[in-house]
Amino acid sequence: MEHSPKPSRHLAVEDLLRFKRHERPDDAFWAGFDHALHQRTLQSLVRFPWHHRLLHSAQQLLRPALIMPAAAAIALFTFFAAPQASIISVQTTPAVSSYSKAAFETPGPSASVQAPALAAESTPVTQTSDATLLPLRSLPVVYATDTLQSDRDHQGYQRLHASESLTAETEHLDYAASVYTVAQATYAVTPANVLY
Amino acid sequence: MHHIGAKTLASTQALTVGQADPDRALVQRVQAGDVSAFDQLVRTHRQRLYSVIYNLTANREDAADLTQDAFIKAFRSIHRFRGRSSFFTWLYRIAVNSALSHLKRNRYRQFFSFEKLDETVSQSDIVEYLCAKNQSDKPALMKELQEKLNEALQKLSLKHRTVVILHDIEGFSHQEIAQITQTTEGTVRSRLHYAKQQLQGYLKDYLD
Repeated sequence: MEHSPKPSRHLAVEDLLRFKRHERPDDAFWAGFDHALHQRTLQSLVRFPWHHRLLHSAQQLLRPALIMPAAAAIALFTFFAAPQASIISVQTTPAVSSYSKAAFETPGPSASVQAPALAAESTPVTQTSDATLLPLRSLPVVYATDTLQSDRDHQGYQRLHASESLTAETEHLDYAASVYTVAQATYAVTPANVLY
Repeated sequence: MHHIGAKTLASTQALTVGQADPDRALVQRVQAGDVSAFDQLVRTHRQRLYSVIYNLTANREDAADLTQDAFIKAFRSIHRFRGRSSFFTWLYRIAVNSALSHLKRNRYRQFFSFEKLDETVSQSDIVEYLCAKNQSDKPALMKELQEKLNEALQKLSLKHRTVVILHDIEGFSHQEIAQITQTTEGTVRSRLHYAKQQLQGYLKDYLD
């Protein structure tokens, strides 16, 4: 029903405006349109609690602002904190007994320690004469288990870390061995967990 | 008037002659909980509704978003639709109000993004006439005309633009436009007259 102007007469504004009826999207556009409309309709029907919406809004606002600081923090941690974590300080001073004993006297999650002597035999504790920093590679397995997977693992790590302060005295060896056994039984400390 | 779907055209005619709203049955089904009936309403009205909003905004992405918004708003409040006006008038009122609010909010941040011209336009008498008159290349002329028309429409105020689009591009009657824009028919005629005068000035190169 489009009005067709003849070349013999002047065009009117109405004739030119009819040209705009030819601006039409194709079928692919409508497929995308329908899909988006369905998605948005479903989203509009689902009403989350107010605190979810608030949290979501906060996340949307803060996400761009947090990307760079988070990346910087990860980079700093990677370059500074991580290398230090792979080196364990071994102290040889005898005055550490009170600290280490206190740590060991607190029973772990599974307090049933079995065969400490056997563990002591299989895992000798390294002792050094000076308070130097030893690379992780040079330490026996018991010192190298800093694979933290959870808070429980972290507790295990603290106990193992405390054992670094042990001297070569027998009683301390027993403690260290028992701690390793607990760690082995409870936290699945195996040579495979060791970070080299 | 091939741009307008047959069913939509039927809605327009039905309102004009005072018959029942042809969308009424579908609306009642949606109100009764049949969501698939709303899909049919969307398919019936989406093309023309999109066209109205696209011509108002001159941005295809915004137009798509606003058209979806209008359908979602209609879907969410269809239970409140009592049938005092036809469904399409109600729907277009929602869509036009959304588009106008969007344009007012973003009046200093407007980007044009034109829709593709369909293939039949090159055979259109308007293009043939202008090519013969200006001795110009057809694709270049079509592109230029599209840009000039959109620019000219964007120079109009929102209320004048709305009336011109609904009347001269979409083919609504004065009465329907009055219902959609919630004004009187006299106001619609007056706005239309003023808007065409403005457009005549902006497009005088083509109107000789």
